[in-house]
Amino acid sequence: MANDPLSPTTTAESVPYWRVPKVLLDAAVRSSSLLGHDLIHRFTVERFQLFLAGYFAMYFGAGVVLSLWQYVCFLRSAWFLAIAAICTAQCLVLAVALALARRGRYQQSITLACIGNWIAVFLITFVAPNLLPAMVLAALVPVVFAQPYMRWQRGLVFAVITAGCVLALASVARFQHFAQFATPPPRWIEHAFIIIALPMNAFHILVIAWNNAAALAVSESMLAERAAEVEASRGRLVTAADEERRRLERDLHDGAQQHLVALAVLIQLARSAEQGKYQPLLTEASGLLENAIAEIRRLAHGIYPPSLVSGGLPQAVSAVAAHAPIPIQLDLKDLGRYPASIEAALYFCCSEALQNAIKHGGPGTAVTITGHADGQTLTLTISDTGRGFEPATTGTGLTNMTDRVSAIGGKLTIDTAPGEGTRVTAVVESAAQPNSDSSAKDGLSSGLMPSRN
Amino acid sequence: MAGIESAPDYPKVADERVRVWVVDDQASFRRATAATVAATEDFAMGGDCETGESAIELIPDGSAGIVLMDIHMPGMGGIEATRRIRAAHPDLIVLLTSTYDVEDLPLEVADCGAEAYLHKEDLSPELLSRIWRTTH
Repeated sequence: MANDPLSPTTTAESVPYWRVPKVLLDAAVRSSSLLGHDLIHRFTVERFQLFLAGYFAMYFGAGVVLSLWQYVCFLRSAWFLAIAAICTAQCLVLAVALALARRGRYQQSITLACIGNWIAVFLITFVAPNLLPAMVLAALVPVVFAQPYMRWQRGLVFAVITAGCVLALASVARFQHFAQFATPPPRWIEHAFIIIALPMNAFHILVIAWNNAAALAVSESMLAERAAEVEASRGRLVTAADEERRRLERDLHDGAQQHLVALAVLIQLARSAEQGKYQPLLTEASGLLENAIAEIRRLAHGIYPPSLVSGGLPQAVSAVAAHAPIPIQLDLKDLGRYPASIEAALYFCCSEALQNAIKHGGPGTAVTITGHADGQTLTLTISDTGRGFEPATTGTGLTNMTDRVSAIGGKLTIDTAPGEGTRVTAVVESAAQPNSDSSAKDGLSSGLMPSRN
Repeated sequence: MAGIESAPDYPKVADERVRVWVVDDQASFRRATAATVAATEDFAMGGDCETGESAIELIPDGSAGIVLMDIHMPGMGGIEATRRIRAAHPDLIVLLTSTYDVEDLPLEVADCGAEAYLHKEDLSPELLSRIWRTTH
């Protein structure tokens, strides 16, 4: 997207002048259309040129043609000729502005149109003070149109100049008597002009304002849609990554580890069967194999803990806590089963926070992990009594935790200060899923169960 | 898919040796089990199967002995297979096996009727004997 909103890269399509009567209607409908005319489209060439062409048509029709027609048909007053001359000059200015716009020089174009307009309305009011109300409204039109396209400083300057212009219009209409130089037109022509021009100009301004607001509303809703899309795709990415981790874990378990385990059994058999010269070699091979199996198990567990699948957060977090080298107090009674993406995100947060406490907490650090669920919200708090850190110095680990929780629509808060310990709180909207009783496994015969730590 | 394979791999024995079945989708562990059983005096292979489904189908009625049942297999899996085998053959002792730590096992291992959990790495002739003695 262009940095300068008034510099679209596409070349201007010229607008045929016979379309000019459709200008306001087109401009009004287009940018509020749901067919993709959002804020970005408002900056496109077409709308800008339509506005200028329409504005040109107004000056040309109401200022030049109407005045000359009145001069020819009703009254040969210099008053009409003066207005026609001023409007012709403004038409020329607008024509130049249109040409500038077609060359893509939008800032100059709008500036020229505004300056020309300020001068034109001032001169018309000078010549015909009775037209003040219509001219005040006409003074506002280009600036109202251009405001959304300008940087705010420039917009402010233009607004102040316009206010000054209106002040000048009022003063000149009130205090100058120069207009007496020509025969004034009949009162009814003045009345008719004011009565028609006033509501038309007011309507013009209102349409522009409504049009800008409608375009803004459309672009807001499109932005919201895009934000929702981005959020959904982030969630899908995280889920896909989790699934990939799970698959890797299964591959390690079902592939390499299975063969190694079978090999271990066979080597064990060979060791017990033959008391020969190869015994030391077999013993060494057995030791290496045990290490390899332990390493693969550790690796697979780190990639995706199987207990997260089988027993959810309470089981997986308890397993991590059981192997941690620092004291950990658990309170996870409240927790049930949740969608896999939520369980994975919270588990990895928990394990990351725990790793941080172990690595950076210092001697004597203790950790408390608390899970709380109230049917709608799931809150997991990991607090340690370690050294804490300056909250501004967040490392990648903490950023990953924050991203992971926010990808599932949750919020992570890190509460810490040097010497104060660290408290990481993850809050996720989620209702628990029904699951089986988690204490059932204790019933399995343990007498024969080899312990494996 | 391998069904229960009798001769020539596992010759039928007329004596009172205890039959061992192994149900596992990994050929390497089936092979290791056969070697372990062959190293014993008291046990003989009853057969091996790749899936829980084929085990249910092929273990003969009235069988007694030990079944080494892998927990994670394609299809119904070891836990459901254990449940059905125990229902059909009450005299069979089913040992669940896998390479996972105890705390990583699914919760259902506790109530499927399995006698114990055996980590595959720990399979040995002595362990088979110990299990058989403990359960009889």
